[in-house]
Amino acid sequence: MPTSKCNEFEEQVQAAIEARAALDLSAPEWAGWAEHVRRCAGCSRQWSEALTLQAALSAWTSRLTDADRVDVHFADAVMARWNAESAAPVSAATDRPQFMPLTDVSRSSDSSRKVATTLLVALVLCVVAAVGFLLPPRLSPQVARNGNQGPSHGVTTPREKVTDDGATKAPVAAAENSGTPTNGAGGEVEDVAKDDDTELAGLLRNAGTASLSLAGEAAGVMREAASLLSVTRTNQEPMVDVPSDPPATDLPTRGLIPWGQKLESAVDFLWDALPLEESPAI
Amino acid sequence: MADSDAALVERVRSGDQSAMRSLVERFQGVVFGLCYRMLSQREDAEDVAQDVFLRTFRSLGGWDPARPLKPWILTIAANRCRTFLSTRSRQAPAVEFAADRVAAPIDPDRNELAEELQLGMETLRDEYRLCVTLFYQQELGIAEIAEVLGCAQGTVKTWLHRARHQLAEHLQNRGVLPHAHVEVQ
Repeated sequence: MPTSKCNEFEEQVQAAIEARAALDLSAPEWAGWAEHVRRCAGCSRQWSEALTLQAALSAWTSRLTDADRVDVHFADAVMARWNAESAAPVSAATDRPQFMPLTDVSRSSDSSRKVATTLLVALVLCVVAAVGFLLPPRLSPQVARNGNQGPSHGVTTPREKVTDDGATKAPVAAAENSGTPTNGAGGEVEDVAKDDDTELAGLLRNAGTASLSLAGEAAGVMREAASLLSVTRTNQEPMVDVPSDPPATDLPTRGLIPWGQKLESAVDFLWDALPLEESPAI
Repeated sequence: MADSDAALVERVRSGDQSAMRSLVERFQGVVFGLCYRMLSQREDAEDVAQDVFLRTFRSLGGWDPARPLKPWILTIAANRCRTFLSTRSRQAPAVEFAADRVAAPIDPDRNELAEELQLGMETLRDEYRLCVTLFYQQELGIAEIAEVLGCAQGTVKTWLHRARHQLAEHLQNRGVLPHAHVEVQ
């Protein structure tokens, strides 16, 4: 049964171990403990363990076999590794393509992005213009009728004024394309409206044709731009020699790839969406 | 006359290769000793010890000259050993140190005692083994070990106590530690 004296003995053993003091019951500092250790089985066992462990640890630390000794060329090995690692970036710089400084990379990337952005904006504008031309007259009848008065779309003209003049003011181009003759003087309102519808249909057909050609031309330009981007990327790809760690020179091209892909897909979509001129859709 | 640690480090920082070599030769014993005691394999210990010095060269800018250099390097060594052990624990275990003598009859002479203790060390947790190695082999104080391991001194004392207890149990199971009471003179 451990007593307070046993706890005190254990603490003293621990303190001696931490202080690297000798474990010797005959020493003066252990003078009062010999009798207790002799009588207490627990403390006697603890003392025995401490002594054996002390001897084992002493043998363990002082045991210097050949395997424990550091290799005589250890310092050479360390220095060789250090020099190899220090020289690695230099040789890599000579073997690999010269990378641009970060400022040049960002500048090049910025200019490429500007080009891509400009192309994209142009594409969007073309698409918007094409959609605007292709809007069915049903969606904006007032605009379509106002458009009947001529190319000045912003000016609204009262309809009665057209009938009072006895002649429509349809644009010449629309009249020529549609092949619709102008009305004679003094027509009824219904007749005028019917003629207007015919002329409007011709005008819309004409506008559709024009928008088709415009959108087709824009699409062709954008397709060419997209193909140019792809060629540029293909030419730069051999410069990349470390796939897992792309060099800085790859960044501008890499930044353009999504733009080029978007442009290509947009142009392809435009090509697919546009009906042929002979299409009866319009 | 040999440079002081601070002067040596200053020369290393300036890129003096002879100073680097001197630093390695000055501390290679303690670093390799710790690595070998921790890893129990000579080749692993050499690789890790080389890593320790390479990292030391790279990190010398962060060393405070007001503090002793040896515990600082041993901190790097301890961390490298722990990292290596955690990596190796996920792979096949490799025990070289006296592994072939486990089943051999015990000869309680000094050499065998040391090898038995080393076998016991293999069974300890990494923290306990580091504590024992730093305390008994490197002869660092409790405060220094706490600094190296980045923990409180009380923690170091507890780990040391538990490590000693486990080592005693190992020796006892191996028949090295007598069960009977020691005759006290």
